[in-house]
Amino acid sequence: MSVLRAAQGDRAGAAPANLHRRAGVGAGTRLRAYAARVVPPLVLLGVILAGWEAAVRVFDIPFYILPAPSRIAGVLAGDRALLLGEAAVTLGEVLLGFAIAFVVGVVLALAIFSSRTVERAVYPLVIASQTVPVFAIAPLLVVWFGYGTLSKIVMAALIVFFPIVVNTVDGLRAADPDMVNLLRILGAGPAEIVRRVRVPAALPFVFSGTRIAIATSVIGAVIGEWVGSTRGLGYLMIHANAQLHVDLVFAVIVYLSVMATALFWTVSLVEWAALPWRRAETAAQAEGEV
Amino acid sequence: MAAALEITGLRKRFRRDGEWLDVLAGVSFDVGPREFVTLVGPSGCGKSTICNVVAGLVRPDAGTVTVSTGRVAYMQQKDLLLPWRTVLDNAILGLEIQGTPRAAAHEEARAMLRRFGLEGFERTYPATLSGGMRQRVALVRTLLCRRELLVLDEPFGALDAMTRAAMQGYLLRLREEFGRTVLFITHDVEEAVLLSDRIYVMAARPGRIRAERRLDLPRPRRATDPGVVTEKAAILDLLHAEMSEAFA
Amino acid sequence: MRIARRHLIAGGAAAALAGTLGAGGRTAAAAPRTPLTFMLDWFPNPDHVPLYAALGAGYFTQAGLNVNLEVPANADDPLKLVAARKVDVAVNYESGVIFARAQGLPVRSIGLVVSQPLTTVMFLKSSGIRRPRDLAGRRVGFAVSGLEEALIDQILRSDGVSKANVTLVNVGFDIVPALLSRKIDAVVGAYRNVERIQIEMQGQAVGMFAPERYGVPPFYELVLIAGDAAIAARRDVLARFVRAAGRGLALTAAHPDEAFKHYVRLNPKLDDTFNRRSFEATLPAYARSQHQLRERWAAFSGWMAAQKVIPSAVPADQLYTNLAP
Repeated sequence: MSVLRAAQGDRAGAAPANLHRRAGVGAGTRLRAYAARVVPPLVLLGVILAGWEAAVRVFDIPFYILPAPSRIAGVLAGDRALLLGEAAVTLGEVLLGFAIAFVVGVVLALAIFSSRTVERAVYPLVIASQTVPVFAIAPLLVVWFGYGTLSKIVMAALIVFFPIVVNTVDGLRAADPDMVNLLRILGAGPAEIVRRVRVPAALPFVFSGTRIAIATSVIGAVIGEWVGSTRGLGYLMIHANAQLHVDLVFAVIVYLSVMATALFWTVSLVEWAALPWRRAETAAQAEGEV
Repeated sequence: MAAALEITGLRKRFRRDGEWLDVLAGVSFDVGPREFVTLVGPSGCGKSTICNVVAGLVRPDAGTVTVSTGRVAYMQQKDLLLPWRTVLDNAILGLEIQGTPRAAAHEEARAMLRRFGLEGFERTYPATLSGGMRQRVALVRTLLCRRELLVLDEPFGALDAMTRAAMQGYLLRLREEFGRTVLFITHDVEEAVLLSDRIYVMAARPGRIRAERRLDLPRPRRATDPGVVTEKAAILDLLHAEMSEAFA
Repeated sequence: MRIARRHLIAGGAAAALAGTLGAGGRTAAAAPRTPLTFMLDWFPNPDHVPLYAALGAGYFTQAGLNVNLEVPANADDPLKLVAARKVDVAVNYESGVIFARAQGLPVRSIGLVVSQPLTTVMFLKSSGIRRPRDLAGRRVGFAVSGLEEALIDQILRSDGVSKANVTLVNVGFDIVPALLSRKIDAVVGAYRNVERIQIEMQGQAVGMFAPERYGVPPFYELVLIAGDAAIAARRDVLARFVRAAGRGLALTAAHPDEAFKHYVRLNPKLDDTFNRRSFEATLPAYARSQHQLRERWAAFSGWMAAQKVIPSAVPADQLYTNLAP
């Protein structure tokens, strides 16, 4: 055993104690690392907002063309209840639409992956479905699914569907064929191979697609609301616009932005929690190992 | 005693760039129980194809492969550790597939990992390990499979010299302990001479056995031993003759 | 009320080009003409015939004006751009002016195009609806205009029914398909000279509730707007514009065929049966004079405040100016 240790020359650290020590130092460095991630975008955002406010005042831009951030902040505070209420409706549509698209998308991806016939027949249609502009589909959806929440959910689902399918298929195909062979040699059956190798290998891709999808699904729900609904942030936006409440329109945009960003980061957080091995991978890469 | 592995008249062609390539043109050899047999040859002589055939991944066009001990354990140059499994879980992969309960498998694996100097790393992920450590885990996994015949296809090829030497030592000691049969592939002649009971020298394009060498050298062997040096020189001569023919 | 009219081709580009080319063949006076940007409220449609008649007959040119006609990209552009002094004059709605002024935009009405209400609550005769209370328990569609709930509320209340008894459904821009597909039973904001014609051309008969008959103060459907600052600085120019527009209206009243010919010449794609029939349905509603009545503005502003679509009534003096009585 000691023969091996002496011959190692591994930078990974011979003794487990090293590992623990590195982790222990974490507390202070982790805080610093967190700050390093969060502070720059916040600072940049602050600069942009300050510039915006200044521009509005200096150039005397009328509020109905471009409201100043201070004005928008006033609406965000004053109409808090209204905005939160409508945001809840839109969020509901987004989450439901996403859930449906995720399930359908993953199932379809598995089908495309397992059958060449399905792939040849279905994949081109999936891609084509994305090229139709969202605005053109929206009225059709309303005709088919009515003016209620369902058409908004379907709208969000349609937008989410494509990145999920594509990324999942790519992920399933990403498994190292040598790993697949290894499992075959070890005696694993095809279902076991899918379970033990293909699915875990596909997960990072699925998360990647999900991250993109969920942020853009907010747009889908909003457009769905534009063409047929009486609740939600999209509806509030056009209603405010019709009454020339331009600062309320901007407040809605802020909400939509925050919603999409929050959903994006939630997915990242879930991935971080669900895939501890990815954390190890990124950490190793960061330190220049591997 | 019946051979652990017997191969007769193995033929295999692959289609590459629209042409048929004869990778193996009638290969025959055998490996006795508990023997350490190495195939040495230039690249392109079909060593890996032979491994794939023995492991059951590729079907030969002609010839027979008889493995008297059931399935084989196969290890390659790539460690093929599943990145989403910890070291311990990677080690028990074979056992898990065979149906061993996790607790028992974990215990066995822990013991083996300790012997390989990997104690304390059971819960780490492969991404944080160095190449040498990962290959060690792969070796543990291979050995835990409880299969009599080990097919090792250039397993130490990607490691640095010092780690390779250590791993070779390991392999030998563990073979003594567990008494497995080994079919070893390498292009490193010295490695072959240090480890093997018998060596088959192969020729390339098409792949075939050129010569067989029986090594009656005492163990442990060192690179500076005169017997080792002589044997190595002889085999290198054979290989050089091969290469000159190929380039003529 | 701004209602999208899907059938009307966006001959906007052609219209704008035609606008800048000015009069049909008459040479300008020797004096250089004052340029003026003029934005419609929406795509060219039969509501605008008198304006195109004025353009085509050279009335603007004769008034010493070089009118550059534009079609808006968004429905709220005219109000915002006039307020921001990027556009000199625009077409808009009485409610639009009131909404804008309630928000502090410095715009007001300086003239009239369509002085009678055109918007209605419309339904298929086959739905069996005869009076507002028949809408109880039914689905009423609307396109978002800011005023739809107020209108339906007024009409229902006048017949003893509360707005809570109907389901309001936002049908986006396509109100005719919504009605014809029977997904909704009635629609708020359909025009008696547009959607009615469209539906009749599909072979269906319609019934309508005219808001002014159910307690909504009569309002000017289409007005000409300008910014306070522009009125202060260029009052004379704007007055000339309004007078020239008035001449276009007079021509339309006296010789409708001739007026329509100008419209079609400047918008060749709009030379069809629908436009013709829509124009004929609009004839009774065009303004007869450019004199705006204070009571009208005050009453409608008060009604909007009572309906709580604006926080408080806007004083009529802020809403209009008669430039060419």
